[in-house]
Amino acid sequence: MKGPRSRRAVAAAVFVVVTAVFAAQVLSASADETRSVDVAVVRLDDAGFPIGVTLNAFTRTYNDSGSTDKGDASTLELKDGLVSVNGEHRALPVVVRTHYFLDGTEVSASDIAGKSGDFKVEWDVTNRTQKTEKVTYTDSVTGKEKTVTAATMVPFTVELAGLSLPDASFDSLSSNGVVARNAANDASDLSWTSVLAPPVFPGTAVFTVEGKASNFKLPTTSIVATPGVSGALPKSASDAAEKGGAEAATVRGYIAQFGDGFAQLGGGLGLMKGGLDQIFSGINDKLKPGLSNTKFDKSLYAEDSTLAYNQPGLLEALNLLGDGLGQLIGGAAQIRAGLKSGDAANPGVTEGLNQVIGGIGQGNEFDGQGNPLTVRASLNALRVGISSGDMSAPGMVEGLQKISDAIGTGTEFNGSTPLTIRASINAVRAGLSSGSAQNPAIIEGLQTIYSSIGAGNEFNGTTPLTVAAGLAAVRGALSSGDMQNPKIIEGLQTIYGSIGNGTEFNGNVPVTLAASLAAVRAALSSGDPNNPKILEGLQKIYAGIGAGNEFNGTTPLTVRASLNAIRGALSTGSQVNPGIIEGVQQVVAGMAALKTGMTGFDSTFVASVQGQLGGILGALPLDVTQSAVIQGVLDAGITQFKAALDQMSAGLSSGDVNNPKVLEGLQKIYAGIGDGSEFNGQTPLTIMASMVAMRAGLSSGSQVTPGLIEGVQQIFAAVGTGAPSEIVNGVPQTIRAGLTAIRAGLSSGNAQNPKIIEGLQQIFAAIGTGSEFSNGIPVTLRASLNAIRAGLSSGNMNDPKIIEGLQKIYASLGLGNEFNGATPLTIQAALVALQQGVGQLKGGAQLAHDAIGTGAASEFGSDGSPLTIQAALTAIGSGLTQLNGGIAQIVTGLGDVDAKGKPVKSVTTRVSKFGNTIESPANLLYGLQSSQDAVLQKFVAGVAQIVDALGDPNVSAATILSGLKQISDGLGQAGTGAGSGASGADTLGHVVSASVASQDVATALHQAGLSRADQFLGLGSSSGDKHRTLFVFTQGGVG
Amino acid sequence: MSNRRRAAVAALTVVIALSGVACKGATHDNQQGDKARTTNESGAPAVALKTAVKDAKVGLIVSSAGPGADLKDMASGAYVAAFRLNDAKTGSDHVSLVVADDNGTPDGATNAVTSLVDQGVVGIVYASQGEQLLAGAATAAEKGVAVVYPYADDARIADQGATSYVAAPTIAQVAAKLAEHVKDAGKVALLRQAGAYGDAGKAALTAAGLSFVSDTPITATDAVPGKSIASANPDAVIVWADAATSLVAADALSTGGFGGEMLFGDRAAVPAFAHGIAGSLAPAVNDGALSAGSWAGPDLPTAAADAFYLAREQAISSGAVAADLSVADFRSHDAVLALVHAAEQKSDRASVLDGIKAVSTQSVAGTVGAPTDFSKQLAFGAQDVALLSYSNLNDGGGRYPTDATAGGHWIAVAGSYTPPAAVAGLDNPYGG
Repeated sequence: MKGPRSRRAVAAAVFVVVTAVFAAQVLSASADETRSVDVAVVRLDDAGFPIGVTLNAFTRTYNDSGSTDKGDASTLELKDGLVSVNGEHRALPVVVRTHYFLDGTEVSASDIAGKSGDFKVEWDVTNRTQKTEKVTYTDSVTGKEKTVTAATMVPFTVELAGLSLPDASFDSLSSNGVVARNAANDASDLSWTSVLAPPVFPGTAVFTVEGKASNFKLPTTSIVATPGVSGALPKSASDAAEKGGAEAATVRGYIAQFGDGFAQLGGGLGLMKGGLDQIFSGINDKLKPGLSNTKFDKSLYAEDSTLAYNQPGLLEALNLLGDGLGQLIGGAAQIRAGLKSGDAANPGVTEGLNQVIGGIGQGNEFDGQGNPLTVRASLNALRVGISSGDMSAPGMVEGLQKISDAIGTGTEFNGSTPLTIRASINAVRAGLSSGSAQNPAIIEGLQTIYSSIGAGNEFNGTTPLTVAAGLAAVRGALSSGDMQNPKIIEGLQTIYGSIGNGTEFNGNVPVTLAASLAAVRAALSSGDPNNPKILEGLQKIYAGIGAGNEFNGTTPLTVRASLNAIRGALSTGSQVNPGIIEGVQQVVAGMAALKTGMTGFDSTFVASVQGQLGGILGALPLDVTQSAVIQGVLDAGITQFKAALDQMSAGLSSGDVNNPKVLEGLQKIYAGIGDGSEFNGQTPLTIMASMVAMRAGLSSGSQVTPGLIEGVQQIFAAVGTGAPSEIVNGVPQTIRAGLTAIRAGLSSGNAQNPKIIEGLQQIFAAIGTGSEFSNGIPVTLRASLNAIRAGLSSGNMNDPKIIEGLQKIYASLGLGNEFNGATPLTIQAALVALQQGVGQLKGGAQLAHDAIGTGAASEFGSDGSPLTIQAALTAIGSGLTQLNGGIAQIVTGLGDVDAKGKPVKSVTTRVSKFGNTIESPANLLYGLQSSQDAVLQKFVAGVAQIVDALGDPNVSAATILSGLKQISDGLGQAGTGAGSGASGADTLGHVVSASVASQDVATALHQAGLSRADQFLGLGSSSGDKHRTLFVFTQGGVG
Repeated sequence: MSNRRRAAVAALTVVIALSGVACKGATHDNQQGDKARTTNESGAPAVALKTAVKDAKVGLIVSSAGPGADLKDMASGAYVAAFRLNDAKTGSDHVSLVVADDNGTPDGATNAVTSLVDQGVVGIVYASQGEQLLAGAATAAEKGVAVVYPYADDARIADQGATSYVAAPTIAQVAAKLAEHVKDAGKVALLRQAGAYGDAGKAALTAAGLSFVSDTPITATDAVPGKSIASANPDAVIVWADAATSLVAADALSTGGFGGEMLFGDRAAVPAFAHGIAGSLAPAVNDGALSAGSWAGPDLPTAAADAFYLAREQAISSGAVAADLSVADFRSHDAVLALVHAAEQKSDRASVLDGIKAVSTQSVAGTVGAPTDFSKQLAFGAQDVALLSYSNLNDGGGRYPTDATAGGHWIAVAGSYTPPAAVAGLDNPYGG
């Protein structure tokens, strides 16, 4: 329970907040207006968890003379963290968690109470009012109105005030709130205020105070939470709360313009740079390297003059020309020396030519082993090797023809036997694929198998179209997994369960077939006469009927004995030892005799009486005068007596069986009981005969022609107990044994020894769904089929399985017409190409054969030109002879060199018109020497000056290329910058768009939250502008 | 102070004094003189949960790859449950979690279930989703072990194994909820992940009555034609894909200028999606994007939810749990509680398999989220499926991921579901 001090503190807090609210309203209130404030006081434990809620409702009605206040308080139920309000659940909009730290370690309130040391107290106050609603806002980019269903939070202003920590207990205080000194200057007063309103404000405020404590005691605290945002907002928050993404959207527009401008600028700069780069490229890449290649490596050029990166410019070319001229001079000198040495052992050209002429020979120069000794003899041997003209002793041409024939065209068959490589390939190809599903080859067969296996979902209505679908159907038919919708397994399980083992009873009611049979059997016979069932009952009835002779003394023991006793009592057939019938007969006869005897009695009666009276002493005689009277009376009495006798006799016997009286009735009973022999055919005519018939029906005493008892005994035995003894040689002898056998056949309950159900379950499991794999190995039939199917085909030629592999093989075998240009794409195409190559080779060989020729006169054209090699060699021989003559003239024209290899000056002179003596070289060697001197000394220097003027573009200097490069680089940077600017503007525009959208939404959520604050019910039922709902969270303090 | 105001204050003082809240002589005094006392009362919810179960092993399967990987961290709610069942302290021996990874493959799922059964678990919480769960369900049925799927959306799991219980909204339920929302929206475009999940989503949405102006299969690696889809001006776009693919699609739609309503399938409503949003320079998804799922989220104001988050704090601070619990989720937590509840009578696999059929989480102490009824294999009721709205609002109380780095969260849309009777009014718990 709250203590009085705590209550006082709460009341104070409530007073403050209610006063403040009403005070805010008072200026705007008018007469006859009612304003209300709900203050929910939430009592918290030391950690901040709620332990009680009280709702205080205050109303103020304004009038002309002021106002009237009313208040009411009610305690609300707090359960599972929720507050019950009018049968519904409400949640506290703000939660508080309080943490206590002593010397840096978090402790409980009870652990810090009274302690001394460095302390810290932290109140985490969290707005918990997140809830969704439809929020409408204007998109700052498009200007369109948008509506989203999004979460909002009711803004709350929370305040913890009035916490006063006395100097006597606290020192060195610091806080993230406001710390002030009290009026007496002996304590620090602390307060905190925060707005909890995501997304514009944080959702949680953390109020902290720390310092040093001595005997820690924390006073009661109250945190007041008011819906709405109090106080002036910072501009950033104000903008976020009101403008949303509008400003950002404006920025986005600028960015878009920037982007467009950048793009245009980039385009222009790109054009300029392109033009300049062409100029630069022309000079730097073509003109300058054309003038001079500074990286030119002369030795490398000498090694390989085709290297593109090492080509000489004009300058280097001139130097090369100079060098070349020098080499030419050297070469010419060597030519000169080589043309004629005058020494056969060290021959020059002239001497060599003579040797060549001999080496060419006439073609008939062979040694003793047939080896050719001259070129022409070799050519003759080669000619025969190229073509023999005899297929049985083939040369190259004949061999190539055989290869071509072996490749064939693909149509060469002897019956179905291929005779060529291509025919074999075509046979293999045909075996791989027919292209017709109706006449399948391997691939079509495998495709059919693949399709036939299927994925398991191929059905035409309910008819499975594939193996997998069939298995799926079988599996579906085998089990539904639902006993309410049974399939085979569930049906068999139901049958199995329905058969039972005979012990299944619900009370006395059997719930299985075996239990029913056990119950039937138990009802048929107990085997205990003292607890008879049907059989014992029938046996008792049979015995109870009896044979008629069962007596214990004179006491009959059976029905028939009783009937015999009754019959015997009814009639003995003897008048001496009469039964009832004979007795009655005798009574009737006696009554007749009595009547007869009474006939004479009436006429002698008076006289007889007088006579007897006279014999009696003292007796008075009858008055004879009255004898007539007496006689009359007597006569009347006798008459009545006789009538009575007649009546009695008539009652005892009528003498008419159709109008039976006692006697005839007894006789009928007697006859009706009978002696058991009275039958009309099979119909018993007496009770005894019925008893005989009944008894015979009950039991014949024979199992072959059974009566009722034998029948029941046979049923009883046929039902059996299901014991193992009732199964003979595996054949069940009773129904229960049969059911037990059926049941055992249905299920063993042991997967290792499966019966029908386990078998079907194993089949069901073995069929599977196709996804059952263990370490990649299929463990069910469908998984296996899927694995086979996956192995057969992937459907992806880049990940081929068997079918794709065979299709690739089939395709790679080809028809022979698959070429990409001249490149064969298939084996047959390669063979065709090979065949063509062989043909060409053969043609070439034939040409070579013919081209070698024999050198005969016929191998010269009409103009004398040779038509074959041998003819050419013949001509060469003649030409070489002529050449030798020409060489002698060349030697003279070349001139001579000195010992150092330098041409010996040989000139002709003339005097110019200016009076100068002009020398002209008189032979080639000296002329070349003059040219080299001019190139190296005059041309090279001029070109070097041009190259220097162009300069190096990578070296900043006053050169043409350096300047052009600077201009180009500048334009490039400008263009790149413009492109980056455009791209960046695009990216930035998108980012800003997202930011605009986020800000728009955030503002909308904040505004929606403010609207929620206006409509906020809290724990009450009122809202609107004349109502406020406040929460006061109180903690009783520590210490 | 005006006379009127002074009079009002005086009158109010009297009223407060007379009302139940105040006591006589209440004044606005400085509280320095109060002698505060530490209260013995506590309003804190119970973190520890009582159980008679001893030494029971509960399996937890997660996925390090595939679509289930997005749920791996949420599955740590199971650790919170184990901590609570173990008396909320270290060294207790009621329940231990045995964790396995299915690697997002059917073989992995089979191996994980087999391994857990071999290790003697009494039941399994399969905190993942994806095609591999079908293999896991089949294996579980063969092994006779109860499996609860707190995040799986595939109803085929129930067909695959009679021992499996789907405790999350199914694809059909999610599709129906989304269709209910957009049925009057006008033109609806569909972007669906290429593959089984996307196909199932399209089928379910179509079955729920939707037709689409465009239907575009998408992947996480291929370009999504956001501009052409946006140019058709659909009123709403449903993106039915996992988190990564959904982000790609949302980016493409945003860049393409789509300004209509964006809805996402259930597999986007995971932390990975929010992480992607938070990590994007230009977030394509804002507050108000929609999905569908369980109504119970971190905004739940019940003491049960408080207890869960308190347990989460204590599990970490006590050192009992070393796992990252930052996005620990109710559903895996509740799944563990349900299995242990089924083991209360006898904690063996067969008894749990038998007992789980009688478990409804409404009667299981400590349950936080929406109720599940395990008398049916599809244990999550349609009435508990809510439209979910993406929210970046963080109250700072520690329940929500840090919005700046971990992204936002999903919150149930008020009025889109029916709260259980025990918490009637929970869809409007603040009275406005």
